[in-house]
Amino acid sequence: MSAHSILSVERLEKRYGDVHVLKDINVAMQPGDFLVLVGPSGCGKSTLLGCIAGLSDVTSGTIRIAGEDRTHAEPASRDIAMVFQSYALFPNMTVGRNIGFGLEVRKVSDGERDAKVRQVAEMLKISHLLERKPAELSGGQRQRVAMGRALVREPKLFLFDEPLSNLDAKLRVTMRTEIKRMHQATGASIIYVTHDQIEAMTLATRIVVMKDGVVQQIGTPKEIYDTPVNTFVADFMGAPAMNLMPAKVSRQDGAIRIEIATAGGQPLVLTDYGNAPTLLPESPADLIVGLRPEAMTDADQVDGRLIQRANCQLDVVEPAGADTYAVITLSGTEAIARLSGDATVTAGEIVPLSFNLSKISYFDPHSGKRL
Amino acid sequence: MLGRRQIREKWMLLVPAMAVLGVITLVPLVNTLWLSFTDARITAIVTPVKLIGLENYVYALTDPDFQEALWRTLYFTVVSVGLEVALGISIALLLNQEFRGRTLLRALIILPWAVPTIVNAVAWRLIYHPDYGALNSLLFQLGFISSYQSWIGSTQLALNMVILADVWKNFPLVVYVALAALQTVPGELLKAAAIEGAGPWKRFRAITLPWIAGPLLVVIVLRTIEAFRVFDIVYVMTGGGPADSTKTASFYVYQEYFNYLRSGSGASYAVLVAGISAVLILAYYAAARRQDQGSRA
Repeated sequence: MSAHSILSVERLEKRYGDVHVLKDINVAMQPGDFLVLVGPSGCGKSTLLGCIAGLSDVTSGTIRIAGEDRTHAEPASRDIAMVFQSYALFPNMTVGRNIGFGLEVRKVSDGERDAKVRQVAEMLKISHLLERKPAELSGGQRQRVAMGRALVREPKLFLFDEPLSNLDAKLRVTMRTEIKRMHQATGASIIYVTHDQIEAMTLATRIVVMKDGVVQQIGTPKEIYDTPVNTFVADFMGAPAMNLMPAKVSRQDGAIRIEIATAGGQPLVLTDYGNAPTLLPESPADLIVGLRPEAMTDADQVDGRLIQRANCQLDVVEPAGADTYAVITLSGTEAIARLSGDATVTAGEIVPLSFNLSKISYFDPHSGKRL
Repeated sequence: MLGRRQIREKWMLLVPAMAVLGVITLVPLVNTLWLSFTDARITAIVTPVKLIGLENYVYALTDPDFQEALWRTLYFTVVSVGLEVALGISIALLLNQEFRGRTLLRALIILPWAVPTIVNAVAWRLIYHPDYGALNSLLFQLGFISSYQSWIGSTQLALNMVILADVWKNFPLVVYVALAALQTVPGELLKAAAIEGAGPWKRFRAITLPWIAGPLLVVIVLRTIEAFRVFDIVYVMTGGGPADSTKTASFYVYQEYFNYLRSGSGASYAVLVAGISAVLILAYYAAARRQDQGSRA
């Protein structure tokens, strides 16, 4: 782990009695990183955040913040701030006192405290709310106050625990942009927990994908999206998810031959010239092939190598405005193709689709790992 | 708008309750008020009653013994309710922690409150007994006192010893109300305060106490009303003595009515005691309203 890491978590384990919640977690982040912990419910992401905050004890392992061992330190002495899912605003205090509470505890003089509270309130556009109580605010305003309380102390590390999940869909998008803007403006180091992979993709500089208390993959949003390390990450990240289709795969003259069964009986055959055949076992094998919906389109540019065309029968057609999604049964799975918004296709129709193989993934059908 | 039938139904449902309330509350109240302006006495033979205006009140308010009894009652109320609240919250905070045997302890803590006041008073009189009381025995064996004391025979100590017995009986009520309220404090608020750097005391003062203030106020008002009209525990433990040192306002009213049989004068004392209780309760509510304005999310 780098000496300059703002946070490094090493060999972290957490158990509640017999339940092993976090297993050998190793995560490091650099100053200014926006690290998103993402995974399904119960994957341990919030527990990991709680351990970093000092709100739950760790069973073993080390947590360093700005180079110092803080594994067993009190939350107050970790120099962190946290925004909770429920916002956790103090109901008996005004917005101004809520924001300045950390400074009040630290006995910062009234004048300095007021000035800092006003400065942060201005940045978050909540100056006119300072005298109100949290009960008098809307969800979005409470969210801003919670962020203000975190920002005002200028801590080393910001922790966000699913901060947008209590907001309606539209406000969530607005606040997501606000958080991103705040990160760009302040260069703060942020750890952000969410189960929403779109939030993870849009906000993060680096993503940690977790499942069952185990880190599956750490990488930039692009790395996670383009080269998922296993079928879980491939399936979890991206909406709609990556199409994971069982296929017969074999080496063929310096390329890879892919044969996918279709409902019609005639298999779909594609040839991948982009990846080295040595990636695969020597003899023909049954693997899982992964293609994102946007790699299966009705686009015209076909070069016969990276982009190949094949006829497919559309089972269901779902117009979604900007795109039209078409469901195709391939190898018994429902694969989704992303067609243009003004595609004039109907269910049951057989249409030629373009398959972009430049970002194809191969996974072992037993372990689910990427080849 | 209610129809004729609904209005009739409404009154049919209301009248029985109003009649009961009228007979057991309104009639005695009006009667007491009326008596307080007369020279009525409790006598075997019916004697004519004369209206004497405010004479009883003037007498009561200028009676130094009654004034002393009022101050004594105020002291009893403030100290016993204060101790009950402090002890009640402290124990509720303990019982709100997780530990083995918590459920059993929570059940046991209510026992003193379940004991009738008279039984409690008799038990404490025995505990305080100057010759064979448990308190003397305990303090003597621990070396805190060199000889047995007459705890409720001393004018300096008696009132405080009655207060102690009263606190013992009533603090469980505060524990239960506070514990119920503590269980509604959102954990995230306390976590947020901890991350902001607040220690246990600051978290209690800034977060927990304001959150439980509403339910606490109810129990404080209840206990204040009860404490201000304290009678039974005093009657059993000390009979108002020694040398009137535990004679509270209600005891004074009782004496005026039933020892001296002056029902007119006694009624004026009773009205004054009730009036002061009402002022105390209004003061609590005013304080609570100031604190609670828009405080809950």
